[in-house]
Amino acid sequence: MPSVHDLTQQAGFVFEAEVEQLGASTASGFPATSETAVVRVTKIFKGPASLAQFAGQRVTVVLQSPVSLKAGQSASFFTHGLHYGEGLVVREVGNVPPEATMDSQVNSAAQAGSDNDLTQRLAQADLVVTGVAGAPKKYVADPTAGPRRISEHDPDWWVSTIKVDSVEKGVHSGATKDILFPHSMDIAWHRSPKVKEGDRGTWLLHNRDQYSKSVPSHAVVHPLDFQPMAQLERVRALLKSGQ
Amino acid sequence: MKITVVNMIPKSMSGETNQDSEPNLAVNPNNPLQIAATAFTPNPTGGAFAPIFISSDGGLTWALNAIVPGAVAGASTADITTKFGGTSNVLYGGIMRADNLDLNVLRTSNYASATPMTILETRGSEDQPWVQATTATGVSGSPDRVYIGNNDFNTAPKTATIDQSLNAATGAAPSGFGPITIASRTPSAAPAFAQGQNAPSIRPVIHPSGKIYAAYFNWTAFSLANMVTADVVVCRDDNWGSGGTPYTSLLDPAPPVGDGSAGVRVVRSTSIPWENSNFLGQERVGSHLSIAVDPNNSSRVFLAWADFPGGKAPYTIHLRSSVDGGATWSGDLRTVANGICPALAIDAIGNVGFLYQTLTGGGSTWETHIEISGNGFTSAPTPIVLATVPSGTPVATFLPYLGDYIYLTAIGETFYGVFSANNTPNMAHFPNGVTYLRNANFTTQTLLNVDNKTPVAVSIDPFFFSIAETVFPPIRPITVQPIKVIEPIKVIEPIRSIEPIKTVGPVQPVVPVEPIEPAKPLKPK
Repeated sequence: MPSVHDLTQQAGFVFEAEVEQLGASTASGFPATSETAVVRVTKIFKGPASLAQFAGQRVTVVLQSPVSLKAGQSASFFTHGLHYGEGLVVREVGNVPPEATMDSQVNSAAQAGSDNDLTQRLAQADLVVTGVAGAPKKYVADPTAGPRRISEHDPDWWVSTIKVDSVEKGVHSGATKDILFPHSMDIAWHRSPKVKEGDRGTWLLHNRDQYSKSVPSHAVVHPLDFQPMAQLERVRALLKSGQ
Repeated sequence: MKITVVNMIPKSMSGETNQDSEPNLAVNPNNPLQIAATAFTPNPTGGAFAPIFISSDGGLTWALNAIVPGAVAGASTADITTKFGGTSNVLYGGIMRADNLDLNVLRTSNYASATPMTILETRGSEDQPWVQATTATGVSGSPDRVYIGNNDFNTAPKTATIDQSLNAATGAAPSGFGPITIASRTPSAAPAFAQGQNAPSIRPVIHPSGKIYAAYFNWTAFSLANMVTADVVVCRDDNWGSGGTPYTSLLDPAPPVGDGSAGVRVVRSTSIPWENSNFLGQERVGSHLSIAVDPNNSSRVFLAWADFPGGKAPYTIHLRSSVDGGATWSGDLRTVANGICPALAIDAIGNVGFLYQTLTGGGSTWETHIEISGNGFTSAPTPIVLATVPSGTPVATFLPYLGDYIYLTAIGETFYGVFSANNTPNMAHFPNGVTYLRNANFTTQTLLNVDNKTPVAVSIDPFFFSIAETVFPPIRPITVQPIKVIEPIKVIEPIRSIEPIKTVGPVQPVVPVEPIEPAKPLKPK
């Protein structure tokens, strides 16, 4: 049986609920089957802001093992959204009996997941430095670097010079480091860090973007690639644990 | 004429505040109650699959069905369009995956099923897949034929491409799909960029006879001030794109009038600003294009695009037509200043629908209009205003704000379309009415969460609409309400008999009064 930790990592919506009816559905567009159950949510442990008000609401769960639950029974469900209509239908990754400490267990697992994501991003980084950003300006591409492509999904590279305080990973000897970032607000790039003059923190620099495409020079591209100074000790601990 | 406008965000998503822009629509010609739609809408709970919108009642109600591969938590698919085959009920999709920006061609035989769509084709260095599909009922076996316009940077400088399959409904990947470069001219290199290319919008359209038209921009220069010089090109294939030299049926006039190349240049060397930032309100511009063909006349074609007329603002949509298969074109039938996202369709009786969005009120308002003409725009029809909403709220979280495109189609004599707009529940914003599926209070003009109490911030939502010439409401499941107990009817006192009205005798003619002599003054006694 998977642990709460593993289930939390796999699930986007985790809640405690009481089973009201097996073989039923709250969504007219998602017919009831032997695998569906209607449950009433009593507590939400993890989920997006858009589902935060679902406590007290009825939800249809597509169960992995319907026979394991009975009407009137409560459980903690680890799920992903499947069908969002008049009613919400989720598919469970798994469920476990309710526990008083479930909230803290899920929070702990979610934090571990967050740490794991940052650890992976640190492992992929070619260079990690701390420092403060200078005023950004548009990056002028090297004319010999190859043809430029015009697309609404163009990252529109800008450059900022970081006054380096420390090198946390990789090799860099200068007092400053030029870093690129996607200035574009296009759907493909709006979540990337947008560097502003005076931003101080840890910079995770990569030679490839989040889509695994090469970039002209060291760049921050993923939302996790800039960590504020307050996260430095955490970054250092994760770097150490990831080695 | 019956106009239906529906906010597509379902009730269970009442808490969402996403910027659901760049919508597209697919109506099943075999069953118009079945509709799929797409927008920049992520799966709220993450997971490996992004959603499409689905309706099974002609667009009156909607749900999100998470079946699109390549999802990233919190992110939507980067570009996505879908279309149904003509009679096969198969839904096809073209996407730019959220996880790696690769092109995927997708297929599902049941758009409402929870089973993920099948990947038929994958290719990197791509942009803006635009799906069109039909069932070739006049061809042996009635195969599904699918045409996906896309900007394929692998073939630069000629990047205008159609990926097509002549038998797409069945068979293992790639199910006949493969790219065909349709650009005939070599887009010029320019100082601002070393690689020539076509613009992102590559728009095919299918006539049931097997004529396939495609419109695209031939970029001939790109200035340091982000001003493009471009030709607006229409090319055509007369046999489903199946010959040895596909998309060469329509030639530019021979020199010196033209260049004799495949694809007529409807307009030459026009100026188009390429602005990937807030340019019109909070929207970007640069590649707006639409084409439609009359289902009853394969030579009757309408085309719309946007540019700077004469090289000067405002950004303006132009509408033109051809009655000879694209060989020659009319002048401007309509122009729309500060207009974006033109979308064209022609219904079964030749009415032409022209959908667009325009920034009005000195930049304060985005209006979504549709004009429907029964005479091919020889006169200007009165625009039907579907939405008129503030342009400044909400603040954009990314581009495009409303979309690089919206969509219009026609099945029979009904137009179906989709657009994105500010979702404030205010009836004044929707002059032809609107229905919200998500919780909303129109009195207080407040969106409400699933608890129907907690306020939710305003955002951009997709809106479905249909305009039926003949009003036949779609079939919906009937909910029978319990019959209320009827109070017994009170006994009413009998009506008293009324005395018959007495007959009035005929009116006697009035004898004229004889004039009276004036009184003589009395003599004093």
